Formats: sequence, structure tokens, C-alpha cells
Amino acid sequence: MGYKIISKTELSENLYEIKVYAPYVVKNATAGQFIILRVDEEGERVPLTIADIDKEKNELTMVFMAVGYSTKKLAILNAGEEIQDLAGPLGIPTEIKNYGTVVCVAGGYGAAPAYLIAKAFKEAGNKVYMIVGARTAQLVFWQDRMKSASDKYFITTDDGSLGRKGFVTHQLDELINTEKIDHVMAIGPVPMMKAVAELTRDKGIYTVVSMNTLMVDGTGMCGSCRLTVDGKVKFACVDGPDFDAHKVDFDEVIRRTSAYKDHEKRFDEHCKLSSFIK
Amino acid sequence: MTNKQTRQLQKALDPEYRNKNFEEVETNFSKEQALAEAERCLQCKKPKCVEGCPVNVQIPEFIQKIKEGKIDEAGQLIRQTNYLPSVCGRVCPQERQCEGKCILGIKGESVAIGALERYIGDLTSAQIEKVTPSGKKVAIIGSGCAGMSAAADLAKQGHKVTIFEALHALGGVLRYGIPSFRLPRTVLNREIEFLKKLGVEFETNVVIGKSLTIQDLFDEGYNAVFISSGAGLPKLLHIDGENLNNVYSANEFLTRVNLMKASGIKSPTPIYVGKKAVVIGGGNVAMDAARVAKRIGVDEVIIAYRRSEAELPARKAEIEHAKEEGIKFLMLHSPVKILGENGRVAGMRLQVMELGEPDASGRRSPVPVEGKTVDIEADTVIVALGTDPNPIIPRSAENLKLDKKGYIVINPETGETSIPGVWAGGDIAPTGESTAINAMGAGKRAAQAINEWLYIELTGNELGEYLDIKELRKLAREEYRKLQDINVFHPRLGEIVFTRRGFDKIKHTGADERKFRLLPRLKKIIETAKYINKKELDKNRLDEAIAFHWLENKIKLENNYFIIGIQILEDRRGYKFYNLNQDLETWHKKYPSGSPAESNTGSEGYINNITDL
Repeated sequence: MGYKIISKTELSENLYEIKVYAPYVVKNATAGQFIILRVDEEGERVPLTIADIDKEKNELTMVFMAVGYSTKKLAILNAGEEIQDLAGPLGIPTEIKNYGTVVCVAGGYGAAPAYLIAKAFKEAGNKVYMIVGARTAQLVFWQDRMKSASDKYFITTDDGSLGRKGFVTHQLDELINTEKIDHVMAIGPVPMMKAVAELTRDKGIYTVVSMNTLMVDGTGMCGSCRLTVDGKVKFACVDGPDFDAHKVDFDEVIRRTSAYKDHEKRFDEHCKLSSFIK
Repeated sequence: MTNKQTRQLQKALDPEYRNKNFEEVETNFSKEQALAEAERCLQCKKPKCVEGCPVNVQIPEFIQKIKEGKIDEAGQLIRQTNYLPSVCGRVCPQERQCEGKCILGIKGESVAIGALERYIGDLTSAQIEKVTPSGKKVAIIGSGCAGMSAAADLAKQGHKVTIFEALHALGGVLRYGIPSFRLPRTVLNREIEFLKKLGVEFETNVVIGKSLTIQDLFDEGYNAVFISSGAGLPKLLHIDGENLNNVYSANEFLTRVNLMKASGIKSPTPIYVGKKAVVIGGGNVAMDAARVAKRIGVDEVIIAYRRSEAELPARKAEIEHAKEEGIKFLMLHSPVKILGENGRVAGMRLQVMELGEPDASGRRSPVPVEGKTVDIEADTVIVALGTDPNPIIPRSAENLKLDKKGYIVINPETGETSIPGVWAGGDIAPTGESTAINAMGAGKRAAQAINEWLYIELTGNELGEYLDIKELRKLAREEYRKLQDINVFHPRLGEIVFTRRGFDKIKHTGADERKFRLLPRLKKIIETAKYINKKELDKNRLDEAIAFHWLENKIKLENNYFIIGIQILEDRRGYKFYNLNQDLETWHKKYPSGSPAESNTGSEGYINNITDL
């Protein structure tokens, strides 16, 4: 008994989109929530944000970058094969209201969940701007979907191979200076979200970030995902993952997220030696 | 020859060997040991040990069976009340429960009840009897001790039971918390297999409150729900440095090792293995975390506790085992600050404490010694201070009543919550010490209440009298007419029937406001019943009194059996009905001499809606 992979698409090198049949997850899932999966019997529990939901087909879409042991193992699986465990939806959904003009800022594969969130903002009557940042053009995906979920869609690449050259914050800064922005939602690497928070702080624009901390159970039981928000300890899995960007201690999150970097590296090497990964 | 005075000891692995692996520390009794230990039991007529056991295992009886060599029968006897003897025999704090009450313990050493229970548990297996399906479905949230025991009881009654578990593996704390050197996974797996054989179904990876709400469960056709999701959120120290890298809650540390098999680099789930770890706390979880740390290769492990060794809440055996394994104990030290370097733990600052005056609980509370702190070096800190309730289920069920701390409010005798058809028990709705066996007791109590509820739904009158109100009034009036002549109101009945205690308890828990609002009125009715002979009643009250009287007399009063209570419930069609608890024989055996007012078996019912009578 597992969770069947309906389809797998390689969006770019090491960047994958998978669709999984998961009725219990899909039934009550909404934008901004995440799941925890375990690829196989020996696997670790890995959190991934929900990128899309098909309530009719009971299908769940996730986008991930095969960077570590578990995501590489996940990337080996093909349509028809099964993921051992998949639990969710977890976390509190993104607060969707009619704010007026909303900017969704997404970095890397964080653009996938940003699609679902932007769609929800649009359905709630907001004017939605979407800024997607990537290292290079090859890593930009789902352009049609992004366009459909937003009123205006901007791309920035670090190397200038697509869209504007530079970071998402450059584009965001320009938007803020030309128009009244009521709400910013950022999802992506922690340093990117931190940069967005710094930018909007002075302007007093309400900004929400989706925090991707380390997690084990994802149900509040262990506190591995804890972070400091407004001077108080919060658990990203039950109190978040969304938090007021201006109150998050980003440096602490960055430090805590790197706690096992050595282990990951050593384990990855250990596994390559034993040819776990193709 | 074995000396009858001396308690048999379970053999333990050599500390130097065992503190490097996860093999079970204590081995089972040999046959000879079990017999010798069974011989020590005095077979008390009024066994105190049974009172000490939260689920009242028939201890002298099963020990007698061991003496007679009837091992299978001993197993059956235990399993009548406890489905997890192999677990409980290993993890119960017996010195505070059964063994603590053993009469031999006063002058010498109590009987090793836990070791005997475990011996029998391991040698025997539960028997599966064929049951008639009731057609009713029960959803259980959480596969820990409370959920497992409720599931077994309900499945045996023929109900279709599904356990929903949020994690990928079953067993709750028994899986992620208690390490395998205390509870081998073969034992745990065997108990779960037994539940599967009983027909219990398991759905892992379903987070109730997220994947499905309680309402979803009812929509999917479940007739009752039992919430046994455990406590959950780890309590934190709320001191400086708590979010440094390598500060773990004991939950996280133990989950990584026990559930995810993290240790060194052999598992994809990482864990930090440093040179020196400080564990904060003094309970079983602290002992487990410390011993686990040692086993995964931490050189030096220190348990820091703010009281003295005498107050350590952990099981005595675990404290001794920890010491043998080289764990250091730093008593009367309370954490002040976690010291860091480059974002990682570098040490701990501890406040030196001394014992002051005894507090309300009789324990001497620790007070800081002014100005005296010590810094110790460490690279890992594990916080084992207990847990707070998990908010996931409450947040998804608006009308689920919680107490100030966030625990689910229940009637402690039945486990009933503020939502009709929903029960709760175990650490999410604690009624006492947080132990496996107490959670099991909560599961059993709830299962009994759920069973009654389902039967009433099912048959209308198998467990209770089923009448509509008009009918009752008519009958009551007829009874009244007879009453003029026969004068049957016995003062004793008036006192007993409406167990005042039952109402007081309900009032405490606030399980249902409607119920305890009636309390003052009920007291009057009891008075009424007492004085009916004196004709001091007004007409309205008389009707009520008569109605109750009539109900009372539906139960035969023989051999001084008491009427335990009357439960008036409302079914889904809006009918009021009466649930007379008829388990009088058991009750009488247990309390042959007197009033049930001092008991705590939780069998009494209560009046729901007197005004409707």
C-alpha cells in the first residue's frame, strides 16, 4: 500500500513535477499547505509544499529539486510506482482575503506552490502580480499557469537569460515604487524571503512568508521546525508555515536549517559509494 | 533453593555491553523464576495490588494460575482487563501502582507483578473469538495505548473499528518514544498484529483535523469517534539559547532515533552525535533520551534535574539502569541559559537549587540558592519537560470544549466530550498521571461508554429502558396511585440512586452544561424522595419523584444490590430514553459493604433532562 505516482515530468535538469493519487490529502487541502512524504521503507520524512490540487481526480501535484538523498530517490521513481508514505495536508492554509493589489514573489521551485496561492488570491478578487525568480532561463517553469493565475507576470533571472536580469527584489522594488501594493506573499529560499521582508518593511506593506524549516513529523510533536516570530517560539508545522515576514528571525532559520549540512553531505557520499542512487 | 522472602530479579545485560546497542536490557523470567516468584504471592482476600492497577487486572488470580502451571489461563485472565500485558509488564511504573500496594512490600519486597505479567504476556497470545458484527463503525484517532485498548474492546463487541494514525508507523509513544531496549519492537508489533486479527483496520498518514475532520468521519458513516491523539507539543524551557542548533526536545530526539532510526550516518534521517549531552528533566522520557544518547555514541550524558533524586518521577528501574550505563545525575540544578558558540550549543548555565518547604502536593519544592550558578560544557541539550496538548484536532472542531490548558474536557468516568458521539481519552484528555496503563484505562472506559451508546442506537432497549416521555408520565401516575397504599420509598434508595458524586464529577469536568445546571434541582428531588412518606411534596415534584421511583423499581432489589444510576439520553430521533446500569453484580462484589460514593469505576449514569419528565 502506497501512494501511486500518476505522472512525472522533468521540468528542467534535476527539477521534477509529480502527480500523486492521494484522496485523503486532496479532500481538505488548500493553498499554502504542505505534505510530508517518505519515499521508501528506509526513508526520511520530507516536507514539500502543495503545488496543485485536483479534487475531482484526487490528485496532488508537487514540484521538487533533486538535490539531496531523498529528493534524488524520489526523482528515480516513475509513473505507476508508489511513494511509501504521504501525509497531509499539513500546516495552516495561506490567509486569502481581498487585500486589493497583491504581489506574489516566488523563487526557485517555490514558484510551484506560489501558483496555487496566486490563483486563490485572484479568485478572492485581488489584482495579482506574480514575480518569479530563477538562476537561469532553464529553471523557469509553468509559465502559462503563472500567467493564468496573475494579472501581470514578471520573470527575473540571475544571469539575465530570461526576463529581467537580477533578483526578484529588483522587480518588487520597482512595482512598489510605481503602484500601491497592499500585500506581498513570498515563497522560496529563506535568503530570498528575508530580502523581500527587508524591502517591504520600511514601506509598511503587509508581507507574509512561507517558512521552509527542518521538519520531522510535521504535526507539532517534536519542535524541530521551531523558529522565532515576534520574539516568541513558534512551530512552523502547526502555527505556520506562513508568518508575518516582518516578525520572523530569518538568520536563526538559516542557521537552524543548516544544522545537518555535514550529515547530508557525508550521507550522500556514503550512499553514492554503496551505489544507492543511480 | 530459592528463599521465599527474596524477590526474583530479572537478569539484565551487562551495562558496558548494552549501552552500545538497542537490545532489550532486562530478560524475561525463566520458568523457575516465575514459579518461585508466584509462590511469594500471599493470595490476599482483599488484594490491594488490584486496587493499585489502573485497569484492575486480577493479579492474585493470574498468579495462582502460574502456580498451577496453567499459563494459558493466566494469559486469558490478564487479557480480560489488559490487552497489552507484554507492554505494561515492561513499562508500567509498578512501584507506584500494583507493586506499590503489595502487602509484602510493607516489610520486605513486593511481588514482582510486572515481571510476571510480562512473562505471561510473552508466553501467551490473545484468543480471537468470533463476534457478531453490530453493523456500527467507530473511528479511533491515534494508535497509541488509549486507541489500541479502545479498539480491542470495541472490536470484540462486533463494531467495525478503524484507527487513524498521523505518522507512518503504529503505536504512538510506544513506537516513537519508548526505545527498543525497553520495549522490543517485536513485542509491539505482535500486539498490533493481534488488533488486526480482531478486524481492526489501520489508516496511517491520516492527520485527523487536517486530512479529515471529525465531521468528515461522521459523514463517512462512522457512528462514534474516540480521540486518543496523545499530548504532542513538547514543553520548552523558554530560556535564552533554546533555538541554538543541537537543542532537541526529547520528542524530537527520540523520534529521530526510535522511529526514524537515525544514528550516525547510516540513516538518511540525521541526528547530531556529540561528545557531551545534557538532558533536562527527571521523568521516564529524560531517562530514555539519556540512555539513547549514550547508545548512539555520545561520550558523556548528564541528567540535570531541579529537585533531588528522591523526587525523580522516573521508574526506579530506569534510574538504576541509567546509572549502571554510566549516565551522570546532576540533581538540584535548574537551567538558566543555554550557552552557544557559532550558533551551536557550547554549554549550559545551571542555577543551583535547594529543597524548601513541602508544597501542596507534599513534595518539597526546589528554591534557588541565591547567586549560585554553574556553567558546564556541552554540545547537545535535550529538553524532557513533558508535553502540551496538540492543537490540530481542537482547531478543526469548533464545538469541542477545551480546558484552559487546551486539553479536551471529558467526563472522566466515560470519556464523553462536549460533542455527542465523540469521546476522548489518554494524554489529550488527561485524568491523571500520564502513563501507558492510564491511557489504556481511559481507552477501556471510553470503549464501554461508546459500546453502550451504540447499543442504545442499535436496539433501543437492550441496555436500557426505552420509552417516550408521554408514556413515562402515564406510567408514573399509575405508580403514584399504587404508592398511596404500599409506601415503598426507602430513604436509602433516595440517597443512592442519584449518586450525588456522579453529578459533582460532571460539574467539575463541565462535560455538558445542560447536565450540571440541573444539579440543584436534582438535590431537591433526592430530598423529595426521602420525604415522600411525610407528604411534604407539591404536585409537580411528586410527579418527578414518582417517575424516578418507577424507574428504580424496574431493577430488582435483592441482596442489598444498589441501583447505580439512571442515564437519560436522547437519540437522534429526539426520543428520551433511560439507560439503567444493570451491572450490579460486579458493582456489589467490588463494594460489598457500602455506598458507591467513594468508588471510581465510573459506571454511574446521570440524568440529562429532568425538566422533560
